[in-house]
Amino acid sequence: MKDKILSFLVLPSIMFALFLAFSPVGRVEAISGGVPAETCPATGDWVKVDDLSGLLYTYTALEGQLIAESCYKAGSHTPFFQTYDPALSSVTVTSTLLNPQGNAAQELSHASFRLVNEPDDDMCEWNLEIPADDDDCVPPEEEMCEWDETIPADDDDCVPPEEEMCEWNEEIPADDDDCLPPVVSCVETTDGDIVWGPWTVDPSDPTREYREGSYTKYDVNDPTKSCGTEEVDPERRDIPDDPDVLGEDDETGVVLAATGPTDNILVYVVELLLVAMLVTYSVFFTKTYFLKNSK
Amino acid sequence: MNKKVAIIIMAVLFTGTAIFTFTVFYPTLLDSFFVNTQDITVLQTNASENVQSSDLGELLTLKGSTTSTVPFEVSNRYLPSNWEKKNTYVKYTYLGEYSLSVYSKLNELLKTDYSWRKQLNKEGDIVLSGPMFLKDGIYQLHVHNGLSLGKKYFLFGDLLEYLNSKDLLLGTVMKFGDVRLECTTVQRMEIEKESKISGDMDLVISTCLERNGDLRLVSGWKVITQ
Repeated sequence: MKDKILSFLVLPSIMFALFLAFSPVGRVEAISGGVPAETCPATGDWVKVDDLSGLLYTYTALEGQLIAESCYKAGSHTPFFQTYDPALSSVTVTSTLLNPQGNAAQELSHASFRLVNEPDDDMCEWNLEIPADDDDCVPPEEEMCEWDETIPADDDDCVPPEEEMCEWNEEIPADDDDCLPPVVSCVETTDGDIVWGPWTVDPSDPTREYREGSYTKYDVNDPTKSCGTEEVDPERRDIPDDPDVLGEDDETGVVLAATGPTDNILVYVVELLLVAMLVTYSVFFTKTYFLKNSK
Repeated sequence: MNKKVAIIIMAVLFTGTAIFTFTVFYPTLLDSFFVNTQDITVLQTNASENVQSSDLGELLTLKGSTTSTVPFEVSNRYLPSNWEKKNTYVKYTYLGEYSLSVYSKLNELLKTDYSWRKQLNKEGDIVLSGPMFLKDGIYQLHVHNGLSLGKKYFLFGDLLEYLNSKDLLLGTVMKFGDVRLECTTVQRMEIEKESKISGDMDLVISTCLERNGDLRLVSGWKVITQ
């Protein structure tokens, strides 16, 4: 039995493991670094020059353009990129990629150059590092959007223009909706209720007490607009006698509380029913079993 | 019907009725009907024989939501005969200044913690009880009346009505702890028609005089100072 297991399971497993260990699949991964490399870019701002030979190549940009970045490819090496700041009108790329066999540089196969427009001499390229008072280089003016009602109110890039305030004068007719006279508050006011302070003993007459009061003035057109507080003449009165001292009556309203034993009505009804049933049944029981037997 | 079955029915009916009657007419014998005074300290009130203060709130420590139990006695009147041999206390819960919420709480307490069924504590002592609040500067205590004139129930209202039925309520002096109170005003009033009571008083005690109505026996009590 054991021999069968060995022959059908273990041995094929060992053989499969050995196959995996030495199979070409593993070796493909090992040389994956040698996959043919990419080429230099040829789209967008890039200009690609093919079929080069030798170790050097010089590229001169057309008028009005400058070279900001170069790329060359030599042999099977990955493309070699180089940037130029500031951008140059002419660039010479030199292959420095060595041939592993003889340590000689690989010849160029192709090269690409990224072109940018030559900046206008008069226009500087403004950035945040340029001081604000540098007259030679001012920040570009923000483009004004043309606001209309379709633009959402919360769009920060395009806000509605501020309405121009007209300068009102008496010559402008009163019914001109575009130019109304400025609102002046507190021209006409109404008086609020008088708020009285507590009664206190009058320092000039200890037998009397007084209280101070004030009221607030409000704008007629805007009752929430306070227009200042005015004092009123203090009120005076004789100090009232202490009712407790003189034994005068106190008075209060008594509330109606549930102080009656009103929660037992149902209990009494049940009690009554039970007693009624007991009496009825007792009469029935007595008649049926005692009076009948005695007869 | 079989005589044996008839006897069993008779026995069940009789026993059931007896137990029910027992619990209805002797409610204080049931555990749940006892007044709980176990967890409440029996206060010695702030008053003494020489105290001059007449502020009942100060004397009975009525502040916040306090529940107190203090010894109770009537100084110048006889109590109903079946009350004589028992110790008597008064238990009250102060609900604060009168408001609608206090009114709700008052009626809730009168049906629960201060149910008319709760008359004795486990030691068999009488505990007169009711919720109290402050209105118009006068304290109001509301107590149940079992309408038995103290013969069957041990309720504060029963005691008051018992004394009033003998024209003895006016002038009665009772003690809440050391605080002596004298009855200065007595009025029978239908609260829904006329609820005002006036007189020289610090405490109003109100109790009902009918089972389902607004007739109340209202008495005004004044703190006696020496």
